[in-house]
Amino acid sequence: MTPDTLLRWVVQLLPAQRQEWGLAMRAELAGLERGRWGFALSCARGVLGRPETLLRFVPRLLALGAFMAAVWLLAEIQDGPVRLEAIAMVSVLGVVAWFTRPARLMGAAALAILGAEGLIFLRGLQGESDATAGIVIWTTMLSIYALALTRAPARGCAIGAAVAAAWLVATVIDPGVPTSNGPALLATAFAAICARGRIPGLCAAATAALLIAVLIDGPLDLLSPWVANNAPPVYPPVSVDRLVDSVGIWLFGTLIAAALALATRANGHANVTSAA
Amino acid sequence: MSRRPSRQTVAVLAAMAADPAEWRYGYELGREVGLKAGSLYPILMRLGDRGLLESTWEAEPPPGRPPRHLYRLTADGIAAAREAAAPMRALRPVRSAG
Repeated sequence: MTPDTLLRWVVQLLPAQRQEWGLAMRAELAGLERGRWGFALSCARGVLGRPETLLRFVPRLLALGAFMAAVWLLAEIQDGPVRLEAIAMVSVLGVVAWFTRPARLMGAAALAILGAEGLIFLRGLQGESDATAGIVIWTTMLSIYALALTRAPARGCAIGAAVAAAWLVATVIDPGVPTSNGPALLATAFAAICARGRIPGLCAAATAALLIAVLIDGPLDLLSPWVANNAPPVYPPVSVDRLVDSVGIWLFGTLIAAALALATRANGHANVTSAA
Repeated sequence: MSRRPSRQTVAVLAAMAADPAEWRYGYELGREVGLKAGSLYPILMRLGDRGLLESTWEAEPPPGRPPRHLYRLTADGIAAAREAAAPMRALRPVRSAG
């Protein structure tokens, strides 16, 4: 490893519009005879500390972490056919995530949340002997969400996240809130109204539904006094403390996300047509 | 500039404003103001983003070396350097002539 190699590698992490600065640093380094390592390391610190570099770097690290976690969880699945189906699921979601390529922080955050949900689902496959329907449904839902939210307007996502946070606060104050779909559906409707406009409204509602469903599947599932099992409450023994099954919110949110993906695509197409 | 520039940014502006017509190399500029490359380049990028700095590539680099980047302040940059230097001048102690 030479200072030139280090700097050449580091400046590749700069976004396209900053590549000229990377060339400038490398040209300065080429002109130095002494202090080359110090210069290269200092440039590397400057490049790696920039928010725009972190925005490119952190999602890649997260993707690598998610991939490794997925491989580990796949190895834990006992049943051969289920493992094969799970591998297919991970492959499809990996391809979708690759092609969506979020350009903004909100899109990257959405992919991270969807990846976490996918890992939670994979963890639940251990010990299963027939999971085809579940795998198909979850692959479809997560893919639709990924396609919808990675190009969604940031304002709508932020409003949806704020409403989901308000739902969480209500949940902490009144543990009965997550035992019914009602407050969650009301929250998504409220998010849509707050965002104003078709695409921001759909985006806010889809984001709120996604975050509430993920909260039910993940953090709330681990918290006392709720039962650490979110099976449908109609199954015995019925308990008023049992968390609502998140599938209803997932399906509802996925429909909104599908509408959002179509509306965003139609809007983009209309913009391109009018620009031409 | 909308925000008060940092001490390092003021130092870079002042150094470049000393001879605004002159194109400067990044390495030499960094040595002059006592900043390492990791601090200097982000400052130059920000100044460029705000339209306070213009850059060009060296026209005739020495044989075997890639052309280096050269920098100088724009008219807005010179104004920003004056604006940034004003509070420093006000803070400087006044020495009596007698």
